[in-house]
Amino acid sequence: MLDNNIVGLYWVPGLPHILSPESNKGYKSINDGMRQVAQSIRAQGAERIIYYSTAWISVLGTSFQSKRHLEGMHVDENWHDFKDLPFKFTIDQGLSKALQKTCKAAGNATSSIDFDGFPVDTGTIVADTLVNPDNLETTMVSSNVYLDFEATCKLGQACAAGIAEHGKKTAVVLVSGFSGRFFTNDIDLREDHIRTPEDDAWNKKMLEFLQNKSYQKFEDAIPEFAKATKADMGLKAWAFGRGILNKDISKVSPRQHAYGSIYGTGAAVLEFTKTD
Amino acid sequence: MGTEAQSGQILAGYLAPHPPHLVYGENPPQNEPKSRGGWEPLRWAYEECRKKIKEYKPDVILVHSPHWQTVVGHHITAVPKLTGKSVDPIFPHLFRYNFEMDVDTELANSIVSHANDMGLVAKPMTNPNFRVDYGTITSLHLLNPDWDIPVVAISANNSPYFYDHDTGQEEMVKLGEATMAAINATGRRAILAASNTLSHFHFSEEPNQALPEDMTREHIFSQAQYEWDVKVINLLRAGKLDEFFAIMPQFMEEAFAEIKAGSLTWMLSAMGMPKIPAHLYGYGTVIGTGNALMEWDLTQAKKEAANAR
Repeated sequence: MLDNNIVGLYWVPGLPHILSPESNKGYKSINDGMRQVAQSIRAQGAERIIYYSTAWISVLGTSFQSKRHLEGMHVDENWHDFKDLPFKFTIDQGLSKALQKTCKAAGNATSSIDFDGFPVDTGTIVADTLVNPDNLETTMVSSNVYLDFEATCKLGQACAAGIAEHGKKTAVVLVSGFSGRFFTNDIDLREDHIRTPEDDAWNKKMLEFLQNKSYQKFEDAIPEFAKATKADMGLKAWAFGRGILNKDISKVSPRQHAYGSIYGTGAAVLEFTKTD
Repeated sequence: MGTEAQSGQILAGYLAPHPPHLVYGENPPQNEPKSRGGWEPLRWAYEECRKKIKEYKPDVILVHSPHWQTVVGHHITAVPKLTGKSVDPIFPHLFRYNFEMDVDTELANSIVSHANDMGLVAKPMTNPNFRVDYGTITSLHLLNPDWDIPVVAISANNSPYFYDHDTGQEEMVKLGEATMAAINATGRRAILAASNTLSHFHFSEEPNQALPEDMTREHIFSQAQYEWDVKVINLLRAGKLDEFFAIMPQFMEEAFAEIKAGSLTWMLSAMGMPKIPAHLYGYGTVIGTGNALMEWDLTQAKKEAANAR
């Protein structure tokens, strides 16, 4: 664990296809990778999980999920014929409040989301299904479209301060893909693959930067990567994660549990935890 | 419903923007949050429009919404009844709406079929647990709060964003043609709704969080944005569609116009690109965006053309 109650940072995809590992070997590999993340979260002794999903978009500041119990059946707006997604979250309202307080103090506009029926995004539900089998309490931070990389990084730093203040061991899970070039027609899921070889090469190059701890090279390459591969929200999830790790980034070791395609896009399962 | 095939008709089309604030301001029983009102000029415009729609006695209202965004093709609601609660993920404090709508599945499936025949990827949405998006609900509620006319909701395929302007708008033109063919084939008397705001830059914080309906704080985001809206409205009021389409890419770029999602192009295409003056019911701003309620009255235009002959 790092000094600020953060047990680790994880980066996982959130498209629903990976909930059907029987459909494709690649989905199975990603599904297995996410179960390894679940084991890591357990082994690290996490008591709480924070999700930052690029599929939860906000435009009026940054939102924090604060509804104590969220339960229901979610249908994805695009993959409504794939499968219904049951969900059940117990939100750590104290943690939500702590995050909101430190983010506000850092100059961010914030809002508390406490509404029955609020549409939790597909990515968060898929991630929680696979990485949180112990039903740990959670909370969620929205992806504010008007915060750029630097501002999102600062938001992550402010959240890290909130985690430290709240005082419970916490895992932070980024829910986001890599290359974002979907197939735009129906495909046979058994034949799913990264849509272009160029995207595949880009993803592998970026993942290699992370594996080698070449974080600066990784970040320098993001604008070009994003433009070339239609990267998921410009890879903004990393900005939040970078802010979470902040100065402790040198203390963690990256591990890649899986890499593959989901409907043409690039998906990786990554872990950044401290190795003593 | 119409009984004879090949007798379908589009009665009118509406540019019907969907700020959830307008439903919030109205305080209908379906919406949980309650307000002191607000945005009356736009809401009065919708009230006028509702009367006209009732007079048409349509079989169906079709709506194309940018807040049902799909990656793989164009999706059409094709399940007989949809019910549930739709909470706006952006403005959950203003819009938590208990919806119940009857869907014209025959027409929906016909649109899918015609779209596929034209080479588009299109599919029916048949999941009864589907949560309808707030854009669809807001436009439909504002046009017909009685919900006594069946509906068909059409997703906004994200091709204008994923590919480019030309590819995206070409898709919407084809989708409009498929819609028109399906209306003809099923014999429906149809109203169309393009659920789009015009200029779309908005405030990044609510000006008065304690009172969202504080009209002393409501105004257009910028003068440039206002001038763009006026320019576009004037072209549409004059029926100058060629000029409108010529400036559309620049409008989208400079005013972040929501019509980029393709709803208006879809509707105009379905109506056969009518170069008739559109009637402006009203214009107003909502959290800085520009919203115009406009009507293309094809029924009246048809009458006038017949009289002229």
